[in-house]
Amino acid sequence: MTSLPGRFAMWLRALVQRQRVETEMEKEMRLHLDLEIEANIRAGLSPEEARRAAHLSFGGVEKSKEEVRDQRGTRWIEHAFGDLRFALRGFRKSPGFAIAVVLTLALGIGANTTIFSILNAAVLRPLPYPRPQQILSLSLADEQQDHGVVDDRTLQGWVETARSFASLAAYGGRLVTIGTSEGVAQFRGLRVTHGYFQVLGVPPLLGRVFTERETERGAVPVVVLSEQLWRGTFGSDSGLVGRTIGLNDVATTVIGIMPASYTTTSGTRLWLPLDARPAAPDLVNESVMIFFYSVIGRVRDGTALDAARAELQTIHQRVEQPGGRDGMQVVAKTLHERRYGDSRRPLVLLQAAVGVLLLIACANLANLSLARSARRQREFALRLALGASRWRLSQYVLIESLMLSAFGAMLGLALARSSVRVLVAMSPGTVGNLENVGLDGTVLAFTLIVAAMTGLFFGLVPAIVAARGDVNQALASGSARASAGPRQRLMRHALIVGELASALVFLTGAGLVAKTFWRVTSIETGFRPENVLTAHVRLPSTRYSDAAGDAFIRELLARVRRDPRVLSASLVDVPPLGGRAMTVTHTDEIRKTSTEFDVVTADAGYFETISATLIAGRPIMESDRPGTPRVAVVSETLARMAFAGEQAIGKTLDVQGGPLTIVGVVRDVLQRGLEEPPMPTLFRAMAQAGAVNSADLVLRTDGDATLMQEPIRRALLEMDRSLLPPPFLTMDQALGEAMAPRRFSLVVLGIFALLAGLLAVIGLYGVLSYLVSERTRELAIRAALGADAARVMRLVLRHGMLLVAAGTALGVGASMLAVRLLRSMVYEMSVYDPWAFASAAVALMGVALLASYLPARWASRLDPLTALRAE
Amino acid sequence: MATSADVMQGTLDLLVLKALSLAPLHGWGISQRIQQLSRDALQIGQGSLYPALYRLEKKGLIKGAWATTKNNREAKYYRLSAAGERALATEMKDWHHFTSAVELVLLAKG
Repeated sequence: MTSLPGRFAMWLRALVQRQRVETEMEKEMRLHLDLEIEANIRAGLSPEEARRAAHLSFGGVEKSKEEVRDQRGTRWIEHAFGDLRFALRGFRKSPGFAIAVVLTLALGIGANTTIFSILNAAVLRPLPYPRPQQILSLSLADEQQDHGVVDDRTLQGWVETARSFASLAAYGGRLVTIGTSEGVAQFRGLRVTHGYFQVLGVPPLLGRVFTERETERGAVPVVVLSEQLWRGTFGSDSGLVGRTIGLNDVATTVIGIMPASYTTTSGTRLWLPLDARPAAPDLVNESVMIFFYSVIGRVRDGTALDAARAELQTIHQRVEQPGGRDGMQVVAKTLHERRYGDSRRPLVLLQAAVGVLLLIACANLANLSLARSARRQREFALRLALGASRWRLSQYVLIESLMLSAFGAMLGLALARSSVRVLVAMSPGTVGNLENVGLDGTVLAFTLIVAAMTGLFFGLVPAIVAARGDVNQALASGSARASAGPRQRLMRHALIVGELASALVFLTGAGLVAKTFWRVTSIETGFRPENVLTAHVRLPSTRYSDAAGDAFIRELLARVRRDPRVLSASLVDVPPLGGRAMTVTHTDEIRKTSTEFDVVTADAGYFETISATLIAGRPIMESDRPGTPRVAVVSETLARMAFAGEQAIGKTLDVQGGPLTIVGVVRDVLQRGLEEPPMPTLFRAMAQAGAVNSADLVLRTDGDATLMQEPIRRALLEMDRSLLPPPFLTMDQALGEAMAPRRFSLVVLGIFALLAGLLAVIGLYGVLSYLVSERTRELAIRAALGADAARVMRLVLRHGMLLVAAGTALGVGASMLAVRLLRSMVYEMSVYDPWAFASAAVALMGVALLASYLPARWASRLDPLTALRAE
Repeated sequence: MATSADVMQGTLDLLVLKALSLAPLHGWGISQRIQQLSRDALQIGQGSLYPALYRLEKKGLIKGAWATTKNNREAKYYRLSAAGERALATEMKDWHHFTSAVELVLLAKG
């Protein structure tokens, strides 16, 4: 009977073409009346009487019109639009409130959206592989730590005998250079075994992936490129698959292209084959090279993770390990957890923190709104008296806050867009390498919900107050401002105390992190980083034999040394904080102990260049050459662990190819990381370790070390035009990077503490100012009766400090509970550090005192006459 | 149980449908027709006609179109739609049932 499209069309017309519809209705009724009047005249009435009679029989015209309007079904929308327009007008007249609210919300919502985008990309979104929960990242761990890698023998055992896995693969990173038509460019690549693509399970966009043959040593060079590389550098050339390109000066055939969604972290742009089978032991030198790899695997359908892990553990223990590597635990995490597990907790904490910040902001806004609606009691009372329903009044207030919320959200989204990029760039770890972070559908939905909830939250309280307004009381009281009831005041005070407490929690957290950061910066590194520059020089093995490369690097070193600005220069295979190159195990037959130590290969003058402290004996010198006895310098930790108290100098340790005589002991130099305990390290002479064609050039200058970058680049070009400029890193930068996670948390928590504190203090100021303005009359009378300015000021200050004291007390209690969350983030100190708690409390009270001072001052300056008159 | 207002509304709708069943009319014409057909017994508040017309047009029972009258004035003429004719037939049947039932009750002895 009723046609839905027809009904909708009429409704829509009434909404969109309202004016036309009104005009039509007017015309209809007008015609009706005219015709009735004419009929009455024809019936003999005078024009006057005719008109009167017509109106009588018609009934009220306005009433009819209203009834017709009711029938249209668009009333509620018209009301809403009317409210919006009215609200906008109101804000334009007094923009202060609106601006404050929109800005506060923009910051609060923007912060939430920013963190959520990162949380979404890192934690919530599943990895872009089929059935990602089946992909496990495997590693070996001892009691001290999870090493993150697996040795090649264990891997071989797994590959050959593990039945719970459908496929296993190893991988390791590598920088490669590719020759293109524009020249030479550098890209990050991943060396992978042939099972790698099976494990991840994404089919190539074009071409194919490696066969097992192709990953064996000595096979024809092949490479798989990423879609980004294919589009960016090769211009989406469809004929690329099957062609050869120059990769590290080797003609390599491109066999496939992987889709862009495949890479999510670390910017990998191409994949090279890897042979991860253990090398045959060098029987002549009785030494064994062990390689370590990152390993992933996909479990078979239906296999439980625990069962798979248990099988791997069994195999690992069965495999023969030179150097006693058994006793290691197999760690199996899902790939998602390996990549983002460390970030999960901090990100969730961060999200909770911004949430709290938003709540504080809302509390402030609720306070502001309450104050504002108290001032509008009169206006509301009038509207109620004129027939507005209470529901409509609350509706209006809610629309106001929702509208402000919408503006705040839009501004917040704009802020979030740029903040996300900045935050990701600053982030340590895998989060810093995220590629697809952005404002996608989930994030937008989140923002919408947050904005709506925020608007409802800080609009609800004043809406209720507006609806409950007592008409008589508001109209009767002479003042335009009706004083707030005691319940309102209590609510406002409770809000402020809550805000202050939250601010204190943030401040305490910031204090803890600051102290930790300070601790970390004073860690003994074993070297002096000022004015030290490293340049990683690598010569392509296709054009340089080891001997030629070695000579090239030494020539470069000589040139660098000739520069007057260079105080000292040397060579090393891995610089401090640069990780490790080689690890060797030494077994003490007599004491039946084994010590694992890192081996660093350094040239003469290395210790001087990095300013490492020699404790005993001598450093590596020019005189240590291929013909002379093979020497080494050990770190004090190695000396202690391998020789237990005895003099290390004169003893020998076996490293790759024979025993080295220890000639010196040096203070520990941090090699692997800043916060890990120093690893025992052995430094052997580069000249005696065999020729190599890559090394780090290390130099110390008397001024800014980066000034040497240009001369080194030029020297390299002079010596070989086709070489790429080497990657430079100053030791200060390296230290900075090592401290990046700490600095990051400090910055973030610092910003939070600042914002929270600011919001709480603004709120306090607002409450106190309002208090003063409320009690202007009373205060003015007091002043008139002789109370001196100081007393009045003390009155207000006391009120303020009471609030602050309550907030601090509550805050300290809350902090006690909250700091437990920061346990993992502090370095060698307790989370209940009294310094952090005390300084946070003092800071808050100090700033709050300032915030109370201004209204107090204003109160004491009140001129009783003007105050009493201006009611 | 319909309230008296609903009954009034429903009755008015029925009258309008009936009035239009004979020929298309504009608003004033409908009120005249109803008056005429009831031999002046029914004098509906003419203003209440227009909400009813809007309602009926929304329900799709009548269709309105603007045209010029004999005296060159613009008026909106309404006519019954096919759905309206069906509705009229149904409503009239229901009305007869209703009034017969009421009569039965009112004329019952004891």
